[in-house]
Amino acid sequence: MIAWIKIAFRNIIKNGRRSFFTITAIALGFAAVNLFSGFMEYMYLGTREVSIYAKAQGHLTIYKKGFLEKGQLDPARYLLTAEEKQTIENICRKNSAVILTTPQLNISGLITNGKVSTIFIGQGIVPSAMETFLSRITIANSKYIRKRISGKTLEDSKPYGVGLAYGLARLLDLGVGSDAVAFTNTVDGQMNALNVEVFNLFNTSSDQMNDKFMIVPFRFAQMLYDTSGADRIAVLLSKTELTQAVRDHLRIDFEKSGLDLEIKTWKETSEWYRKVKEMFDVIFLFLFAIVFIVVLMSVINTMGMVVLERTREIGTLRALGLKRRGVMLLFALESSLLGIVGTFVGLVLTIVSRWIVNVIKPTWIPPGITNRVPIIIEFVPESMLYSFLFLAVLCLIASLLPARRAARGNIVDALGHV
Amino acid sequence: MALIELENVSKNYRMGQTVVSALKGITLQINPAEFAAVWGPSGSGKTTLLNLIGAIDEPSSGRVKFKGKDISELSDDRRSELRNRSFGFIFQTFNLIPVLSALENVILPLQILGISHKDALNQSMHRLEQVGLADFVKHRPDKLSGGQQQRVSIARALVTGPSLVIADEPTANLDSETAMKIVDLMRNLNNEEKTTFIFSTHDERLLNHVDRLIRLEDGQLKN
Repeated sequence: MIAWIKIAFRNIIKNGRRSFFTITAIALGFAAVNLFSGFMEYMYLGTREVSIYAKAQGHLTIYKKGFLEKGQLDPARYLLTAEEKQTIENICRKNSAVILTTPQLNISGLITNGKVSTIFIGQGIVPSAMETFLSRITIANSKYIRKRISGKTLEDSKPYGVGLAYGLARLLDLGVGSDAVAFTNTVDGQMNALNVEVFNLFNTSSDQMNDKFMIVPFRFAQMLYDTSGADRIAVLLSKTELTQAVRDHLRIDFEKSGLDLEIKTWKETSEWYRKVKEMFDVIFLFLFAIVFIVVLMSVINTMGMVVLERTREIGTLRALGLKRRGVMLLFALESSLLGIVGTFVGLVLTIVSRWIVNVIKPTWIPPGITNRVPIIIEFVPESMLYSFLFLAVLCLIASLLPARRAARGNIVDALGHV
Repeated sequence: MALIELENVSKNYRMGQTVVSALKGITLQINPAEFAAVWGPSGSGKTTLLNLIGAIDEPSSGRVKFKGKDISELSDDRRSELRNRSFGFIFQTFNLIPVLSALENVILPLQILGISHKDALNQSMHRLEQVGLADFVKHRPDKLSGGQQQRVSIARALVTGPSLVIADEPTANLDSETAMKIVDLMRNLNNEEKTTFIFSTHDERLLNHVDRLIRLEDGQLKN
């Protein structure tokens, strides 16, 4: 076998220019796929962290059954009561993967500065819990989501202190320290109004939400809706990979306790993540198809030329007693070597390009985001391994057709080939 | 028993609409340890005859036997094994693998045979010494003269210890002096090892060196 590898390797060196172009095609294909995979991974991780931590949705969100369909029409009926809340938290705490459970209550209504009113959508969350969520962000870009522009953090002990999206504050001409009034219907349908003080201004990073979003302490949301309940409980886990397993466990535990609940994972609650993933998966598919075709054509062309040029050599080897499968093996080895060298060069190219991008940190504005964020290329070993295997097998397959032609050719004709 | 037997062998080639008869009803025996030349003008069918004897081509009719066994009945794999174990080939244009050294070229048939690298190395070195190329083992073909390349080719043909060495115009690409040396070398190996040699040539000067002359003309044997 070593002799055949030697022949294959030396022929690659001998046909330096042609080998160079084939190896370059494979290397660029490998690098393109892996750099894009790295960028996709960065997008997925970023979007995931935004959903779980920056937006404080947690890994799991627990609702009363039917809330997502009918909660808006009959909020009183589908809110989790204080007792249910407590039972849920007790059950969750028994699971070692659960770091935090925190109730939330989303509200909506009108907010006024005394002269002008506008609608708002508010997320009622326990301020200290929010800080726990934010502290677990590891992806640099996620911190740009709901990035605080000015002011101070919300406090559990000061339910009237709220955070306003920058666009909403601008509409009402409010700044840090300004007072406003939020009013809405309680869960029983009564009108209710409460004073708020703007503790901070932040950027939601979403064009659609920037002029109507506010974050309020959970206690404030309860007071405005005049309820002791919550519409959901967010559950934060130690590891994202445990999401499905913990959900399955909790579902069983809740059923045993007689609780009729729905548990959604962060993927199910984050439509944005799903859309981003779907979009990038489609782009990746196109890219992969292009790389596939370029590499396939390049290797087939190269191996076709190799077989043609070495017809007499094939005839000689067959005359010396090499079997047909031996000839096929010889060309398959040569093609595989091209694939291996190409992917190795591609690996180096990927690492160097990734390093350059991560050092320079070019910025961009992703769709639906208002801030410029740095582009980062993640290191994705699985993608590299799979693309290496794929390209090696592709090169092997691409060599089969010309190799088969070479192996099945007439020996006399091959020996007489000029 | 004859080493090679041809029984009424014909070989036709189709060239477009025309069928060309390269060999017409050849009946012939090659005996062990013979040093035979196939002589005839260009197009007389010399190469075709050697190709059929060497199991790299199949007759259109008739039978080619090696040690009494019909070669045509063998599968492609079995014919490959037969060529590897029992035949050695020397080509007019040497046909060495350009990316391999002289030694690596000679080792090649043994590697196809699948013997250990150490044994292959020893046998190949011995053959290269035999043909006077012990100092050129690491040279690639393009660094060797025509005569040296043909010597490597002879060493390669002999390395598996074949029963028969088939040489198609082995001296055609060599000058007269080198051609004589090559024929002398083959003759000596034939005398020393009793290996059967059959080679084609159209050079009448070489015919004095052979035991037996097989004359071919228009695809037929001539007395």
